[in-house]
Amino acid sequence: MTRSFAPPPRTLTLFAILLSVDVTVLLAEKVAARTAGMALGHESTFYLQLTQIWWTWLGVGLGPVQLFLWTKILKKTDLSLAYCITSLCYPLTMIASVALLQEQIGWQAWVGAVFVTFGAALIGSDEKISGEKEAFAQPMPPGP
Amino acid sequence: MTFIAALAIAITISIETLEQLVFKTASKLSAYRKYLLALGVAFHICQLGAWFFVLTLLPLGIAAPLMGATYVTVAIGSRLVFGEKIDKRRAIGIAAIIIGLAIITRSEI
Repeated sequence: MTRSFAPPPRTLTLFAILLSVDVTVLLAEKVAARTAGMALGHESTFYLQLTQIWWTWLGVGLGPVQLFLWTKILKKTDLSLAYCITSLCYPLTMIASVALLQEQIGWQAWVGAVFVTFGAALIGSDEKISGEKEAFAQPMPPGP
Repeated sequence: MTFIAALAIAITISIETLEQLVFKTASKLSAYRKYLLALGVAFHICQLGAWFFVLTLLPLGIAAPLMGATYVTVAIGSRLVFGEKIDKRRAIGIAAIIIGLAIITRSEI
């Protein structure tokens, strides 16, 4: 069954929620690593510290939510479109890390990220995979 | 980028690639599925550990797009292990990601 390329507003909302959760997970992991990073030099202490930071568990705990949303999206739209839209996670993460973590990112990195996003969307979009059965056999896109 | 940061992200990407390939193998080999799924979960935990270490070395805004390399390594791994084809569209995608990664790693980090 092939669906229309343009997803309905409800599916777009699901995409927006999934991307927000993806970015939240990455931000939580970064904050956790930054906090536990004080203990660097003693790797065992670092990982022990990580388990005691709630940001770590927020990041880990949102994993099943990501999987749930991904499965829900695949029920409503083609895998190729889903991969294209989720590749937006890279630039959105960069914007969030500048806005919320005050990271400094040079212009070259932004240009590079555009290439990576374009490439990831292109690799993920396979017009031969459009059936529901095939789509469900696909894992979540790789990445951070 | 420091050598240790490059090494850490390379290890993270390698583990993520192995994880994806193991999960794909699990979907093909039903006889060994539960062992392969357990192996995949083990790789996922290792990848998470390596990823947290990467985040202590690099800004998130740099580390996240660098993980896009996984699309390339999984595509190449799938070609080598499962004989999947890399068509023109994917080849262009791989080239775009490699160019992007080269630009990011040359930026001031």
